[in-house]
Amino acid sequence: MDIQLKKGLLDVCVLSAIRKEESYGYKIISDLKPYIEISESTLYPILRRLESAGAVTVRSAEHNGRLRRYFRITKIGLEKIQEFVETMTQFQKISDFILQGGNYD
Amino acid sequence: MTKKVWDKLFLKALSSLPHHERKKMLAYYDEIFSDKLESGSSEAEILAQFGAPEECARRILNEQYDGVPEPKTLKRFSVGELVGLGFLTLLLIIPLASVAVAVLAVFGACCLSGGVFAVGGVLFSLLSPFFTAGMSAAGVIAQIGSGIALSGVGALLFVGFFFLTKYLAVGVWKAFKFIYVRRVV
Repeated sequence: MDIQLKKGLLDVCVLSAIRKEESYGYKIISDLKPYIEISESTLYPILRRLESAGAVTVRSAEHNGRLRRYFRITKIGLEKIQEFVETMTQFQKISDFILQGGNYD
Repeated sequence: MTKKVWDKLFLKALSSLPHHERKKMLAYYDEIFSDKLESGSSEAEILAQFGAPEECARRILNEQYDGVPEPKTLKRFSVGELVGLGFLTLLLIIPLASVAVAVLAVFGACCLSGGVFAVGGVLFSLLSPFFTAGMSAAGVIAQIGSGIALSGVGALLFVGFFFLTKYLAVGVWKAFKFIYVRRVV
């Protein structure tokens, strides 16, 4: 898969993993595992990027005597998911066109 | 490999990054490591899943900085802070720094003395067989033994004061940075 495309796709996957409720690094990786391969070293830059873009917020909370960082989606993050869905709808149309040999005859 | 060794190699591979960035990255891996331990994985399994520390560091650097660390931008001091810092420097920092420098010099000298002591002891042991005129065998052995004992004491002094000097110097440097260098923003 194209690197830039995969980068964008992973960003949206991570956002989707925290869409319903806040989550943390290990859980995000575990939740995405059945759908897309994502390692710890891939997730870290994504979370940092999303945080800088204001798409997620972070809070630290105690868990079993240690700190765990929880990520929560923001309005910007939700908009990013929506943008992606719209782009994919357009891609789907183009994909259908290509698969049908370039015309609808 | 243990997690401690993994951490050390990971931090080494990230040495081009600012200290606070490296700490954040390590805290991230620590968190996932603890979560995986809680879910029943062993240390060896987790480290195998993480992969080589150098490779993890390389992937993060490539993804996050395209291989180049972000430039540091430092906050400026305000006029009030500069005046306060001036007073603090005159009244507290300069006297404390003088004491720290003196103590460092003493520790350094003790470290050097320990080294000289150790080398002297070894030389004493090695050369004593050549100066045995009129000495009994027991006397020669005792002489060699005391040389070895002296070098041992010297080595202990050297190592002890080396680390004391090192930790004090690092502490002084950190304190200096904490007071005079603005945090990266």
